[in-house]
Amino acid sequence: MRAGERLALAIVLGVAVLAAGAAGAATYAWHAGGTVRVAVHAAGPDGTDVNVQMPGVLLNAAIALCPTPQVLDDPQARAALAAVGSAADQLATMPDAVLVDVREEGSRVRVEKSGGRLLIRVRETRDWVDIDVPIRSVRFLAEKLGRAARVPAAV
Amino acid sequence: MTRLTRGWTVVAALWVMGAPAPAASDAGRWIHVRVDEDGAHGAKVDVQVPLSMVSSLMPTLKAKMDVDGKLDFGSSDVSIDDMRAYWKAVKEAKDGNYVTVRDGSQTVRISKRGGVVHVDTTDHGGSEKVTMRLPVPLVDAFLGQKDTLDFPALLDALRDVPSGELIAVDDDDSKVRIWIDDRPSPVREDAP
Repeated sequence: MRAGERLALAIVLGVAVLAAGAAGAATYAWHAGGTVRVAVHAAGPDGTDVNVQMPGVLLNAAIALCPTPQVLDDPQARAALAAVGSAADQLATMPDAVLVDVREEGSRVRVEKSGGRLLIRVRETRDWVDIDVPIRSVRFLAEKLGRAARVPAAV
Repeated sequence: MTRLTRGWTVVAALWVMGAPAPAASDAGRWIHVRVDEDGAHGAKVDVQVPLSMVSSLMPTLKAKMDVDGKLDFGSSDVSIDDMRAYWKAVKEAKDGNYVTVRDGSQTVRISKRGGVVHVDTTDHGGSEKVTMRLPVPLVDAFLGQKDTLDFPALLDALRDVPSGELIAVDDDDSKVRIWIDDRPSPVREDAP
């Protein structure tokens, strides 16, 4: 094999390895990010059915690209943001459980942590909303909000 | 709910909200709140959270608490100093039933057994009932030495409280239960 051919083969192999690595990393990120699902059903003549399912990695990217909230002059908002960040950490480490379950004449609201996911289910007599978010995304959002709380307030 | 019941419920809610400061040792402790309204259409509420999570939310909760040294127990305000004085007397007393107050249709009984103070209040011929089980260290921490009620200290003390029911409120149309446990409870069987 001539030197030129060896160089070409090395380049091709290098590109193949890089492509495989990038694909593997993307697949891992895709898998680790989980899936976000939002489903809404509104009954009636003007009712709607919405079912959005997307990789959590896209939600994480959207969170990362969003500008940091401008609540820096409000002490209560800063405290709340910091608390949200800390609570999200607790959410990630706690065992699976139904955290909130409220039932009232024909309606039910349930917030549950299950297998690394946060499930919010709202049921009305004929309408319902399901939100299913990976806790990883919740933490990602909370971390961003927590960072906003730590930024010194404008004078 | 009557004003009396509402007052105790507020105390109970403040108690729950004032969960302990974050610590590894309270990671496995859960505080449970259950509210059942009577009747087919009555609301049923179950909330359970790890103490560690409640403590994480303390900065927010404290900002919303308007604790200025007085608690409104229905018809009269009781200052923290008065409460401390009452508590000192209760704490130093031997075990037994030592306070019974009957005022119209209302009866209040306070007793102490095995390091736990029991407060039982009944009203309207027994149709409204408040039961509190207060471990001595918990109340000590709650009343503290500061100008206001010491929620962080209360929360620290709550970590060491034995599992079991802390507060029960029964009135004409609702029931409230607050208890502490080492694990989350499953969804109630009557839930649809």
